Parts: sequence; structure tokens; C-alpha cells
Amino acid sequence: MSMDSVFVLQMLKMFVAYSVIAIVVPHFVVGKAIRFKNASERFVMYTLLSNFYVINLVYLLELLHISHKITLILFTVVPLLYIKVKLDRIPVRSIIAREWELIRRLVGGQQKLKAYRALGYEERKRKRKIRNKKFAKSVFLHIPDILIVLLLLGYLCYLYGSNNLVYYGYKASDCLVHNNWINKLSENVIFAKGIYPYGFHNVIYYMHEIFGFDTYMIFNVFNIVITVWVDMTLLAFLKLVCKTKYIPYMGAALYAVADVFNYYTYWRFSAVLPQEYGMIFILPTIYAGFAYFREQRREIRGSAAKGSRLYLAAFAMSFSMTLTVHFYGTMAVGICIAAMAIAYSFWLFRKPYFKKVFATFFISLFIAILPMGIAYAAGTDLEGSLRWGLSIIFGAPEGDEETQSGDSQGTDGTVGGDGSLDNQGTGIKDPRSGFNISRKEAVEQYGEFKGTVYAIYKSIEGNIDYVIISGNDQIDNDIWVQIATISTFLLIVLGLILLIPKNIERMYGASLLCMGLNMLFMAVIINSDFYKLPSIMQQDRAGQYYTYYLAAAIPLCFDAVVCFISCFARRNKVIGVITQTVSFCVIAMYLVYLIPGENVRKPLEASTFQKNASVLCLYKIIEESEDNQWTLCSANEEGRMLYGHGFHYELIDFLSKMEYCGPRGTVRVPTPVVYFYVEKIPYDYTATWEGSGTLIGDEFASKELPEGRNLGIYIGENRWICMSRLYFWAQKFKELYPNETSIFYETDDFVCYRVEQNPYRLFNFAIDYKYNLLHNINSEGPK
Amino acid sequence: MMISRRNFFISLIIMGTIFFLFQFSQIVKDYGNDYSYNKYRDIGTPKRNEWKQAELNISDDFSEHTDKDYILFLGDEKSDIGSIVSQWTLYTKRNICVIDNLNQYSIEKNGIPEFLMIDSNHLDYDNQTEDIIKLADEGVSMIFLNLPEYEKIRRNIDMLKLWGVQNILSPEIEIEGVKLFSGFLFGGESIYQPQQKEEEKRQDLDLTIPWFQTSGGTKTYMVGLLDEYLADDEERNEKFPAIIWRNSLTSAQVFCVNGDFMSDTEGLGILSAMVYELSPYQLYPVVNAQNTLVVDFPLMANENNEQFSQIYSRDINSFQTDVIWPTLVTLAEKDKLQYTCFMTPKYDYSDPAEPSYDNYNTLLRLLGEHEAEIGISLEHADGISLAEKVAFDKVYYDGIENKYPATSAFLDLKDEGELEAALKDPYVCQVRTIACDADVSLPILSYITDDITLQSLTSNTKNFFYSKDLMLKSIETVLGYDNAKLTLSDVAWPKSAEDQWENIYNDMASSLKTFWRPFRVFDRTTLTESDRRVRTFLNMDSDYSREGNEITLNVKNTEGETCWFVLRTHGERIASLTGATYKEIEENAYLLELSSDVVKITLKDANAIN
Repeated sequence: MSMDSVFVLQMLKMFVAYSVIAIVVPHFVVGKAIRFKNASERFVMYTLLSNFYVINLVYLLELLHISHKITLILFTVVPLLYIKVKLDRIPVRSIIAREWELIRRLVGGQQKLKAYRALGYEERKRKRKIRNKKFAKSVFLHIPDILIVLLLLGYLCYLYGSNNLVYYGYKASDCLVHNNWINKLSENVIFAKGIYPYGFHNVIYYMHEIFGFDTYMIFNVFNIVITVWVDMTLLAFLKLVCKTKYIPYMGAALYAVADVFNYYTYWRFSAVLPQEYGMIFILPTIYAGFAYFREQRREIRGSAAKGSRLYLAAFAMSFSMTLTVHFYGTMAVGICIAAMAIAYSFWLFRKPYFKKVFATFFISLFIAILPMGIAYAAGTDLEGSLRWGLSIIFGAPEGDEETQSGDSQGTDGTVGGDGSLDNQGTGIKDPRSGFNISRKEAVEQYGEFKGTVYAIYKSIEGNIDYVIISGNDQIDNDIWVQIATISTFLLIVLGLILLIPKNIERMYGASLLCMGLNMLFMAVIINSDFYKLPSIMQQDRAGQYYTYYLAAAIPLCFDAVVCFISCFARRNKVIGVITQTVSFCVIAMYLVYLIPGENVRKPLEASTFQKNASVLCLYKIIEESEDNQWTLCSANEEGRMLYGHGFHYELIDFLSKMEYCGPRGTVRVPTPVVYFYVEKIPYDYTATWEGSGTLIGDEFASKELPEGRNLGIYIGENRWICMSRLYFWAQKFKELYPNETSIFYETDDFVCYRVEQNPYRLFNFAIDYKYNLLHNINSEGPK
Repeated sequence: MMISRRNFFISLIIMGTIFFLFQFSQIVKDYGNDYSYNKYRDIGTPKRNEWKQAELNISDDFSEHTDKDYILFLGDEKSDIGSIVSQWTLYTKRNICVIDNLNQYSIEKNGIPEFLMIDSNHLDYDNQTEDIIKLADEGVSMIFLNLPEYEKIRRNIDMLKLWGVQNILSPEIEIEGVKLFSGFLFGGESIYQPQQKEEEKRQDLDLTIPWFQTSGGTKTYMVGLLDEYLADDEERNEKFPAIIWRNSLTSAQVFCVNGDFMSDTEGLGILSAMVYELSPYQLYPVVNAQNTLVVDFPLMANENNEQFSQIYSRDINSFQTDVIWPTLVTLAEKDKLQYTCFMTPKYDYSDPAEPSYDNYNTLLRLLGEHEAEIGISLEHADGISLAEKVAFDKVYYDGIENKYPATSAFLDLKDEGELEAALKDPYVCQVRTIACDADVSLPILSYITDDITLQSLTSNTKNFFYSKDLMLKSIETVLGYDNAKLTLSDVAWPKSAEDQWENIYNDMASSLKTFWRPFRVFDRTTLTESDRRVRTFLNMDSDYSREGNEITLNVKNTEGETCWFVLRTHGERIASLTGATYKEIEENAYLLELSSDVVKITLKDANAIN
């Protein structure tokens, strides 16, 4: 099977597996209990419940050090069955008694199975028929929705999946770190390198254990599932908040398909990273907030049963998960919650709301922090990136990237095990250029008040411009900047207007206001330095969340305008039809705008930290070799990927050990088979240099072997030196052991050697390969 | 109660039917078979046309021989080692040139041999080390068939470096056993170290060797075990004294054998395995025959009757038919053995018991039923010459009406000189192949005359020492051949409790189940069947070449007879094959049965991504 087919199959498998976890199982357990909710709400609820359960189950088992496939299955199946029985009020005892009686009668010959089956057959058949009819009707009524969703899903898979078939390896250096931490979970070691939000890791680990996916494979292709879920929660959010039926699709299409946003705001979806996974829980948190206020108000007015608790629970779960998956998500949600507090302040500070909201807020924080708190109390220190994150929030001097903290490099015995560097240049445009205008200039030009407002407006516009810079020449960025800016302010204005009359649309108005304020705050945060505000988020990360919110805000604004024009006359059938028709026209026009292709985002092209050949070889080695009977000697990356299947020998260690000794030293690898990865044209790991793209050779091999145990030894010329050394070593070794050394795989820029040895009489890999530092030492001969 | 007539007849018919069904097959078998007929006599015998080595003299012009076309042996051809090297070159169809002094050889004149095989007794380590190293530098691969005494080389650093010896940890150490690693000789890994008390009697290997520790660039195939001595050492496996190893140099390979393993037949397989280790693949002819010889069975006289009856409470004749043969049959069925039983009228001619004619036909039937071949045993107890035995036996055989015309015979080596005369006797003259005890000076397979071949014993189920297992593996590797002997004269004339049948049987059964198990892929044959294959093997010549993944094998001088080859690879598998079929012997080793004179083998690398 070709590697492309393997990856496609793996993507499909993971999609199905995650769907089972996130949709099928929750539907089985709580489907009946929330059957009156619409599909979007159920989708959101299922996703929240399943993730919340999985994350906290893994936390619990890991902290108890009893996490294993069996315990995971046991603690999944038994409690969920119990919950189902309780929620659906299934009379288990009477069912058992009935079935037992039936078996007894069948065995005793008093009852024929055929006759038993015939009992109530007609009734069951009738009910099934009704169910099928209902389902068919539902499908028929939603054909446009289904088609649009399928179209979206298909395009998402093409957009993000195709890159996985072009570049097989990890798309971000962080993946290795996370892979390592997940590997450690298999050993019942949580917070391996310090306290860090483990929600994402718990889910991946759960999938690895339950479905048997190799963690490295999840990290290669799971991004497609994350992307789909992030986009589907956006769609579900809009479907739940918008009044019109079709405008929500505009948001999903805008975020996933339209070539509007800057590349850096979505390239991270090419990789499997916690921050992106955490985005799944952002909009559900906001929706849970909106829904709570709506339901609580209805309850107070007595127009609805007590349904608000469900939304409070959903809020608690989703908000806690934003924190337990990635704290950046919490910051983004936190900003929106602040906006929500303002927009709903009219209700929030009333007694029935205030206590519940704040209690929920603190409970959700408590749930998220509890596992980390327990670990902290037990003496585990904070992980470097968490300290770095906190330093960003509290305004301390910025360090390196997220997981590249000082103590995280090479401390676990392998080079760069926990190092991280983003491999993508962001192409960030300075937000203060272009649109921005200083207040002084504006005041001079327009007067005090008008000038100040204009300056703020222009600065906001400038910040929005920062994220809406697509590389597509066909797109008029300015139009989208204007749309985004106007949407922000229009949402605020329309929200405020709708808050004035004491009718049912006040809640809708509050949600519009919340989104408008949220957009405003986010736009400010993108460039908080400009406003002399503390920088709580990196610009590019803030931009990423901003675009996600914007994809919700613009359709919401359109929705509000359409509804505003139709005066919310939903009960008037004619106006209602006209409204939905207009909404359909909006999405149709938008699709027409997209379909020609120039405005559609092109498939993502995010390169990896590995050569495709190395991933291909690793896959084949894992597939074809007996576990733990082989070792792979390579530069860093594969060390984490082969966990559970084989062993890894760090290239620099291998070379260093024979540097001073030649054949008189000893380098042994205690497995029957040893593989060696040599990059003939080494990979530009995180950085290019003047020799990039050149073949390894004598001129590099004769240079001094780099020293140290950090990532630097594999960057730039150092990588060429290491690879050249290994290549010449392999050539010499093959000369000495021609039948034991074979080429496992070779391309123009990569070669994998395979050495087979007797495990009871290991080869001494230390040889004089001409470039050892003291390569003449062997001339002294034996002692 | 009276039985009705109807019921009586029904019972009678049923009884009659059952009686008929039981007896019918036996009657048909008796009438349909002539057990005095030797079906193996019909097997064709290829004419003698054996492949001959070129006579190479070091002083001659070697221009006809291209590089690596011959083996250069530094030593005495008449020594045990010389005999082994000579036999090995013959079986593997290689030319050999023998020198007794290294100075006789020059690369310019004689070219580079495939191997320079060195008997250390013929190398002057003090004065010729430089020459040897120079040869290695110029690409001459070497096999040191034995190593000199410690004193001669302890300061010879250059020589140690050539051998890949990093340290000499001890000039002499008592090892606990020997371990042969898998992938070298056929039969897999072997540990020659007694684990239980009763196994101790098997240990007959030389356990005192110098302790060489090998350096990087070497590969070891056999080591001495020092489990207790190195119990706490993390690298104890790598520190075990090397016995057979290879050191890879830039231009040549050097094999070393630390101990006396090359002066007997185990050396044959070791040499083949070394060649395999040097080549990307190895293709060579084998006999593909596994004979099981039951010597002095049946014994037609009730010899030693008093002692025998005391032990077994019956005479030899009845013991043979009632006890020995049924147990041998059970063993044969389990291991698919093909017996060749060597009948003798008498073993000890001083015993007054006369050979009996009564059991002759019964024994022929018993043996014939299981397709055993019956040969003539020319073995006898002391006190009589072969001529006298033959004369005595002639009288006995003349008295038999339907004589079994034997085509094989077993000869006691001490009567080798009298064989020619014995072969003229009418009852021996039909013999076309003779088996005899092994002797290093005697080739395992050869022609005695144009019509008769010699097949020496290669193993013996009695007293199966570790060295015998090593020999078995070795001969199976080089020839795909085994000629195992079960001696039953000891049962008739027991010298100790060990010679009693139950002990002999236990030895035999356990040996066959364990030591012979890896070689079940080879065909089980009787001695006459084997003879045909031996003739083909000795006659044939072959050459092969490889282009890419395709090997073309051309076979000559087979006279249309089937022949077998072994293909050994390093991780490559047979993808397709024309002109032959194959069976896997073990990992990376295949037995090819040729159905054509031209065979094409396509290989694929099993350890690479295609």
C-alpha cells in the first residue's frame, strides 16, 4: 500500500474514531435525554460532554497511576452505562428478569423463539416505519444544509488533508514535545516535564490506547479532524445564535474556504497542536453563556422549564476545557466573557444570575486547575512554557517560543526532546503601518472628539488589516478590512439598539453587543503595545483567534441586518419566508463569490521537520519489524515517534562516542537490527544557511563534530556535518560488513541503512571511518 | 433360548464379511509383493564421469586462471587439515594450489586466489608477518585454519591487528562450553555446554583456548562460554573468547579459527560457511540425501544366546522381529526415516550358533513392508578376516532359495585392504555402493571403482558427542548429506549396560529428534538411492552468474539426472524461479531441485522497501 493510501486510510480511521468518541457514544448515553434539542445544540453538547469526560477520566487514572487500556475501557463503559440507565430510567432489573424468564422458557421448551419474535412484531415494524419516515422527511427538509455541510467538509479535507499527503512528517516542532508527553502517559507519568494543560494530550492518549493508533500517526494526520471540528463548532454556534437559516454557512465558509485571512492565522491547522484543539471549546463556551441568560430569563418569567442549569454545566465544561487544553484559548474566551459581562450586565448583576454565573465560573476554573493543583501540591514544578505564558500575561520580558523554555532542551537524554521552534515565517505586517494614524494628526485634522474617534477607528482598522492580508492578488483586502471593521461597530450599534425595547429580542441584542465588543477588544489585543496595554497574547496567536471570531461576527452582523430589516417578524409567515430567502440569497451570493476559485483558499502548504522518506521508512519499519527488536539512529525527530515499537539512538551520541576512539572504543546497540537515517541533502531544520540544498560531503565531514545537546547541533551547517559523518561512517561500515549492511530505502536526498547483527555478539559500531578525531589511534594496535 | 435360523445366517454372514475384510488386505499384500526383490536395484546409476580439479602447480603459469579462480593452501596436503581443504575444494568444485612456504607465491605471477588458506604450522610468524599483511593489503582474503601458540604471536601486534584482535586477555583459559551462532552452519544456533548431568558425557570439545577479544570491524561466529566467569559483566557476550571470527579490512577479509576445528570433517562446513559470509550470495551443489544405516541387522544367528536370554528373556531372532524392528518402524514413521539394514549371517564367527534360515523370509517381509533396503554387512568381530567371513556367508546365502540381491554393503575400515577381493564374490559383486566408518584421510564421497561408490559414515547415533553434532551440521551445510549409523551388534554382544537395547534406542530416538530435526528438509534415502545422487553430485559441473537480481545457473554432466543446489543469501528471497523448484532450509537458505540444466533465479531483497 502506498504511503498516500496509508495516510488517507489513517485520516478516515481517525475521523471515524473521533466521531465515535465525540458523537456516537454521547448520543448513546445522553441522546434520549436531550432529544428535544436541535442538531447543532446536540453536536455541541456531545462534543463537550465527551471531551470533558475523556480528559478528566485520563487525569484521574493518570494521577492514580492506573491508566491502561483496560482501565480506560472499564471506566468508560461502566459509568456511561450507569448514566444511561439513570438518565433513560431503564428498568434494568425488570428487563433482566424478563429476559431470564424468556431464556428459562426457551430452554424448557415452553416458548418458541420464532413465536417470541413474532410478539409485537407488527408494532415494532410500525414504529420503525414512522421513525424512518420522520428521518427521511428531516433529511429532505435539510437537503440544502446537508449539501452545504458536505461541500464544506469535502473542501476542508482537501484543503488541510492534501498537505498531509505532500508532507508526511510533523508540521510543527512542538509536536515532538507533545508526542513525548503523550508517550509518558503510557507509562503513567503525567506532567512529565512539569505542570502543563494536558487536556489535548489526554484525548490523544485516549485515542491511542483505545483505538490502537500510533501516537506519531495521530500527530501526522489528526489535524484534519481538529480542523473539521473547529469549523463545525463555528457553524453550530452560528446556527444556534443566528436568526436566519442559511447565513451561518457564510461564517463556516469564510473561515475555512475564503482566501481572506493572513496565512499565519491558519497555518497552524496543518499541525496537530493543543491550541488549535482548544479552539473547539471557545464558541461553545460563548454559546452556553448566551443560552444560559436566555433560559434563565425565560425561567424567571415562567415561560420555560428549568433548562438553564444545562447551559451552566455546558459553560463550566467548555470553559474548563479551554483552560485544560491550552491557556491561550482561555484568554480568548476570557475576553469574550468580559464582553459578555458588559453586554449582559443588565441581567448579570441581578441576584438570580449573579450567584449562579460566578459559582459556575469558579467551578469551571477549579475543575481545570484541580489536576494541575494536585500535581503542584505533590511537588511537580510548572512546565517552562506555562511559566513563559504567565510571564507574557504578567508582562515579564518575553522569552522564546511556547515550549522552548530554557530547561526543556535536551534534559531527557535526547537532543531537542522538548525543544520547539515554529518553522513558518509569519509574514506579519506591522499593524501600525497603512491604516494607522496618530491621534495628534487626527485631532489636528478633525478636531478633538472627532479626531480621537477617528484615530481609534483607524487603529482598529489597522489591526484588522494585520490579520486580513491574504497573499491572493485577486482579493481586495481593503474591502474585507472595511467589512470587518464595519461589522464590529455595527454589531455594537445594533446590539445597543435591540437592548432598548423590552421585547424578546433583547437577548439577541445582548449577544450581538457581546460579539461586537469582543471583536473590538480582540482587535485591540492584536496590537496591545500600541495602546500601552499589557500584552497578554502574541500577535500572531491573537490574530488566529481574531479571525475565528470574525468568521462568527460577520455572518452575525449580516444576520442582524436581515432580521432588523424584517423587523424580526418571524411569526408573519410571508416575512419569515422572505427573510429566509434573503438569507439563502446571501449565502448563495457568497458561494457564487467563492466558486470561481480566485477567492478560494488554496490547499495549505506547510512543510515539515522531516523528510517524507524518513516517515515512510519509519512506518515500514514499524509495520514490518517485531516490536523492540530494532533501533533507529537518527537526528532527533524519530526518537519520540517510534515509542512502543523500537529504540532510538541519538545521532550525535553515536558519532561522539567513536570520535576519540575509533575501533578501539566501543559503541554497541543491543538490538538485532539497527537502522541509520542519513539525509544526503540535509533538511533545513528551522533555519536555512548558505549551504542549504547542497549535498553532504567530504568538506563537511572533515569539520569538527558539533558539541552540545541542544537543537543547535542539527541546525544549519552542523546538520550537514553530522549527516556527512554518518554517511561516511555508513559507507565504511558497509565496506567492512557488506552482507550485514543493506540499503533499506534510498532517494536522491535520503538513505536509510539497515544493519543486521547477532544480538548475542553485538557489533562494535566504533570503527575508524577516516573522520574520527583521533582516527590514527588504531595504528597503535592492541594492548 | 434357541437362535433362529435367520439370525444364525445373518451372524454368520457378518462374521464372514469381517473375516474377509481383515484378511483380504494381508492376502493381497502377500501375493502382490515379492519381498526378495530389491526395487532399489532398478535405480539408474550414472556413469563415472567425475569432475576433476585442474592440477595447479605454483611454479606454473596461471594465466589461464583468472583472479579468484583457485584456492591457495599454505600447508601440507597430506596432513589432516590438508585433507579437509582438499576434500572441500573437490566437493565445491574449486581448483587448489598447495604451497608449503609463503615465499613460493607471488601475486604478479599467480594472481589473487579466492582464498589463501593458512595452516599456521607452515607460516613463519617472525619473518613473514609483513608479507602476509602486504598480501592482505593487496586484496588477498585469508583463512587462518589454526592459530600459532601464544608465545609466537603475543608481541606480534601487526598480526593481531590483521586478525582483528584487540586484546589477548589470557594465553589460555578453560571455557565452560562453546556456542555456535545461527546463520553460519545449517541447523541454527548450538550451545555445546552441558546443562544437565547426563549431558556431560557429550562434551568432547577442546575447552582450553587462548582468550582473544575482538575489535571493531570483526564478526564472530563461534565463541567459548564463560558464563560464570563473566557473570556480572554487562558486555559478557562480547567478551566471550572468540573461536571463529572474521576481521574486515579495507581490501580483504581475514578469517581465524582459534582451536582445532579444521582438522576433521567439521572443517568442511566451516569453510563453506566462510565463503558464504564473504559473498553476497552462495550457490553450490549438494547431494540431498539422508541415510539411516542399521548395521548388523538382521543378525541371523542366535549369538551370545546365554547372555542375551539373560538380559532379554528371548533369543536374538525373536528380539529382532518382536522388539527392535517395531520400535525402529515407530521411529521411522515419526521422522520419515528410510532405513538401509545391513544383514549379516553372523557377527562373531567364534560363536557356535549357526545362522538360521527360518526367519529370513519373515525379516524380508517385515523390512520390505516399510520399504527398507537390505544391504550386506561386511562387519564382523575380531578373529576372522574379511575373506573368511565372505566365504562363510557365501555358504549361508547359497542355501537361500529366494535371495535378496543386495546393492549396498557396509565395510569395516580395518578390512579396507581386502575389499577388492571380497567384491569378486558372487553375492557381493552386485553391490554398487559401500558405506564405511569415517576417517579423515578418507573422502566422505568418492568412487572406489568405476562402478562402486564409497559413502563414509558422517554420524552415529550412539555416543553423540558435541563434536559429532558440529560435524553433522558442517556436512549438512556443505553437502546436504548425512550417513548415520545405528549399530546393533553391540546389542547382541553388550559390553556394558549402555549397550542394552533400551539405552541404545533412547540415545537414537533423542538424537534423531533433536540433532537431526533441522535437516528434515533434505530427502530421506536408502544407501542405493543416495548412491545415484552421489554419482550425479561427483560428476556434475556448474557455473553461474548474476545480473541485477537474476542469477543464471548452468549445470553440466548430469546425464539428465536430477540434482540439487543450495542457495544462501543475505536477506534476499526467491521471487521467481525457472528450471527448478525450491524448499526453504532455514532463513536465507534454499534447497533447489533442478529440473533443467539452465536455471534462472530472481531474487528480491526482503529487507528493503521496494
